[in-house]
Amino acid sequence: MKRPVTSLDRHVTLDVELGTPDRYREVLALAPAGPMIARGAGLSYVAASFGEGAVSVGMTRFDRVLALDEGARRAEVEAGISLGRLQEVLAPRGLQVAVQPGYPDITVGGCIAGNVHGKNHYREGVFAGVVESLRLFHPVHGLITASANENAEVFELTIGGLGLTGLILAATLRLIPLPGTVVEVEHIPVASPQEACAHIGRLREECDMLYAWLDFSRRGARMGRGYVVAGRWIDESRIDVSGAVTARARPRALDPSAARLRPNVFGVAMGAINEVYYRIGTRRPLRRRTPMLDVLYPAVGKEFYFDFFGRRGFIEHQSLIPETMIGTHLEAFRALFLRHGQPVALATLKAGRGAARLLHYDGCGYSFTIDVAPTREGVALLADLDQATIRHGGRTSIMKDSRLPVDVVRAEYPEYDVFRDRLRAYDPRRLFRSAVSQRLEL
Amino acid sequence: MMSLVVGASAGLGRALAQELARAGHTLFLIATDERDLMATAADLRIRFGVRVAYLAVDLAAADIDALRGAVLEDLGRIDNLFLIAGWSAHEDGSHIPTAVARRLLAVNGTEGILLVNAFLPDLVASRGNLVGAGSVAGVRGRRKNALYGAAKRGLETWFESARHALAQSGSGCRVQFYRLGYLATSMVAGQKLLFPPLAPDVAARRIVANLDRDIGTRYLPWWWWPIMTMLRLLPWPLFKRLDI
Repeated sequence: MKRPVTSLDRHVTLDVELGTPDRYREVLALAPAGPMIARGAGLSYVAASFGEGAVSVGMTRFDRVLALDEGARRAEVEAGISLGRLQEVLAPRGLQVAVQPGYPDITVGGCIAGNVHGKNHYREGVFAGVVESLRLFHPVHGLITASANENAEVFELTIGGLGLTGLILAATLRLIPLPGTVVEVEHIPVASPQEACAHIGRLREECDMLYAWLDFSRRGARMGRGYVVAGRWIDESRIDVSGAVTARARPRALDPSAARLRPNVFGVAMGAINEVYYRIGTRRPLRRRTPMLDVLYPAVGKEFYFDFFGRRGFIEHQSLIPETMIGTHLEAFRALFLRHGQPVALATLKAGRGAARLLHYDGCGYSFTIDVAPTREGVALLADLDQATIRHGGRTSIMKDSRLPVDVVRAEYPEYDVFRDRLRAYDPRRLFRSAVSQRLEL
Repeated sequence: MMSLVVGASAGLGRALAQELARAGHTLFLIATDERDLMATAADLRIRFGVRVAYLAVDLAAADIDALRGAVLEDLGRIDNLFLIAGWSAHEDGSHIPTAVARRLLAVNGTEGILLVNAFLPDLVASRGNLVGAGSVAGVRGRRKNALYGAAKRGLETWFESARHALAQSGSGCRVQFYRLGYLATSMVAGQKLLFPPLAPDVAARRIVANLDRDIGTRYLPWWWWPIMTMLRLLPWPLFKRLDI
């Protein structure tokens, strides 16, 4: 039975066959009959977990902790486990996963396939650094254990491989100590993205998490103002966090395929909403003690944001620009913003550090993110921004932008062909496909 | 508390094992596939710090006495027995291959009865709880799920008998039997359902909350009661036309 599935940005909707196996024999009996793709929480902005003619294999029933070695700081988990559920096991033991994207329902399998980053990209890198080994199932190759020492080629292709190498069943993750469950969060008001960059550059060495929120909802004197969010773990007695994140109903805004009324709130009130958000963010005191979960998962309780764009949804565009070019890039963005007159619902800046390989969204520099409505001006703005990103030696996140053309990816990712060729050598029939892999001709 | 869950690989059985572990029970899990059992047992030990043993055995081909011996050797005594195992086949209708029919009757009926029968003295000794999972499919015979429904109805009758016998003997045991509606498991995956399925963990929480209560046979969720009562009372000239 097919049913409509929609990407989180509401940009892609397809009728797909969706299976939810709950036993190993159901997964391991999958035959190489036709295209398929794993689906975790379904929270990728882009259509990474479903595609035309592909069966989506829901992995969320495989959500168990298989082994935990507190001394060696290592946990083996099934790939369908959510970060929040894992956090409930690790936090009371004073451990954590170093790299976490901003929502607790996201699965470990999704983090691996997307090679995600968090608010500490400049310090802890991307998810690839957390994964020690993994277990993968491919209907032709069977069960594969992969790590840096065993099946290293498959290991490398699978991390950040968009789920195209098979179904990730389990992974062994490296853990780090959790210093406490409270974070001291400081908000530093800034007048421009350049000022935000300067603060981030200065605070990188001393802060555990760091990003800036910027207001590009309107032109004028206040355009580009915002505040930097700088977080530092506070070492103090641990509070009980059990049940804090996962024992809640999944907000409807995360299930965009469900039919319901969705007025385009941002169409009329984007400026006002950003104004309120700025005032809340810059009210005093600017330093606050904040519970860890509110800092790790800031989108919890704000899921309605995704609905504010109305039925047509939005596009999130995130590009990582080399440090030396970020000033030039932000100037170019400012000019494009003024020329196209397209309001931006959300703009953020983060710092990153790492090596740019394969299709990984990694490297040293600054991540600049914007959310825009998919209007004609919005799409034109993004197309121009693509050219600026290419000129400035940046790369755009494949996991964020549902519109990102294959030509741009080819230009931004020098190892695009390497990834594509290796994937084809590993699986000539290319069994695992999604709307993203189809758009990117992988 | 020492609890035995039969049919713990997935769905309600696995959810029940989790709720019991959360409540601090020592567990023994039985199911057909060791891979599922190993994962669930590890998870429950790590998350709840309880002792979990398991045995991979096919109920349809089990040596019941040996199985009882293995369980008692590990647990020492048994306070709660949950018979959750179930198996359905898409081809289940008026006539199906004998091997499939035999398995449907064994897993959903006869072998479950034999297993509980073997443990009854142990439950009497501990004044424990005997909990069985039936199905709304056993309430009125219809074209689809014929053997599954027949086996579950037989199981229900046996649970009623056990409740009657244990009540008269003053054993102090509670016997509970749930007529389950659709559960959101792979058993109903891809099927067009007339009513929304219940999440297994919600069902498991209700069952654990009802432990130690003498409630007999219940629908779960409760709203199947009016639906199934109407279906049961529907006059034959109308019932025979229903495509169910």
